Amino acid sequence: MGFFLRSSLAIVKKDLRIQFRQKSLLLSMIVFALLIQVLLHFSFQANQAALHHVAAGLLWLPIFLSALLGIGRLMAIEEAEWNWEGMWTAPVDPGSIFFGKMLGSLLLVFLVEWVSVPLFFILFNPPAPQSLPLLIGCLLMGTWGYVSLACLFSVMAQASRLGDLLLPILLFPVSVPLVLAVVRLTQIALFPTMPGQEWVWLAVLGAYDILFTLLPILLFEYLLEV
Amino acid sequence: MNNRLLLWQRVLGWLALLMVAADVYFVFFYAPTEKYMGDVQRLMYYHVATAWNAYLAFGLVLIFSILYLWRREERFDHWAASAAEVGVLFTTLVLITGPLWARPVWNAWWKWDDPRLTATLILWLVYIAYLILRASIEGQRGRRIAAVFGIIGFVDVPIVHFSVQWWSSFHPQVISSQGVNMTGEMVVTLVFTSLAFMVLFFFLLLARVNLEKSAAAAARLEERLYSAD
Repeated sequence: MGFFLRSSLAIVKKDLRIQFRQKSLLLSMIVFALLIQVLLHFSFQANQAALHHVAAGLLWLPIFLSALLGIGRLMAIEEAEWNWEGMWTAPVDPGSIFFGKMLGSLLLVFLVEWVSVPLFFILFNPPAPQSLPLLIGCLLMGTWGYVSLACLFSVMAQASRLGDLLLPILLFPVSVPLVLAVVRLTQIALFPTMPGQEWVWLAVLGAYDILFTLLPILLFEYLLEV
Repeated sequence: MNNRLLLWQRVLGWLALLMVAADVYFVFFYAPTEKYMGDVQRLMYYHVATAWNAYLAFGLVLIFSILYLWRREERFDHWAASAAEVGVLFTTLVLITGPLWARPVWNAWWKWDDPRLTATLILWLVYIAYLILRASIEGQRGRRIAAVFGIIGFVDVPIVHFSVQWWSSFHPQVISSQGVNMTGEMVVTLVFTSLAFMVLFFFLLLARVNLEKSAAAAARLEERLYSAD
């Protein structure tokens, strides 16, 4: 287990070092998230009256879309110059390679949220959240499951002729339960609604996260093998 | 081996023809007309029969995907690909017959607050994605990637089912925990239709598998032809 995590962390360190030296990917993801927020504002006419219904979408769609593009780029680094093959020959668990790539992507998306979530509060002026811990927990858990599947599917998409176009086609239908859960949880966290229901959705999200972290770790070697 | 599968395909093909023809009698003459919905309710037999067989198809995709990753025999991949295709065809039929029935009965083609409708749409999209993935990817690595998606996709199905259910609910519960809300003739018709469609399903599945086998054999011959000169 210690060795598994150490090899994952080595990959995280490598990815973050590249990203912080280039900075272009992280900055583009943040700018992209802001742009989506602006477009959503115009297309939903998100005034105070409409906010109750569209708040969850305004919060999550920028994150989902910017994560989609960012992870595609972050995984594509390894397609070049036979990097996957290089890592595949390393004497480590292939699952730890996946876990490392996933943690790196996760940190990147968290950094995007660090900007886009406060921007959501500044731009749309919703009432102060009913439950800040629930909102933060929902952001952490929702991002986790989404990023894990995005990383797995992005390797599949990049092996195909369609490339990154395939990523949303694979990812969106499978992530529907996660979307339902985070939308409901966000609504509960932001506005006073039915109490008690949040546990159902936290359970859905928790099960989803565990399942779709373990399965990719177990199955990743089949994607790398040549 | 190959000949046995072809023989089965032929037998099942004729059987499917006979059963689906006989089923027309059951659905349109034997089964009584429903009191409130009228003749449009007869769509239910086809709707439910194709839905059950679609679930069977996607279950087979899971089983053959696991078998392929485990045993690495190409034939398991053929079965998984074929089952997914026929499953998507059947799910498409479910998604067509459902709204046709819903328009007169619910006064709407589609209701997002119906969990089974939504879940079926998501299921359909997952396996459409599987087919697009398969079509855009080649070779051994492609087959392994498809198998991994076949497993992930199926694991997602029950989660979609329950989460959409908690989201809201009002599908007709024909078979509930209180028992079956149908007359005896209706039950007989539904069971017979389901069997007829199951035979049809296996015929289509075998036809696709045999086609995959021929395509693989042709590819091997072509390879030999090029490596000879």
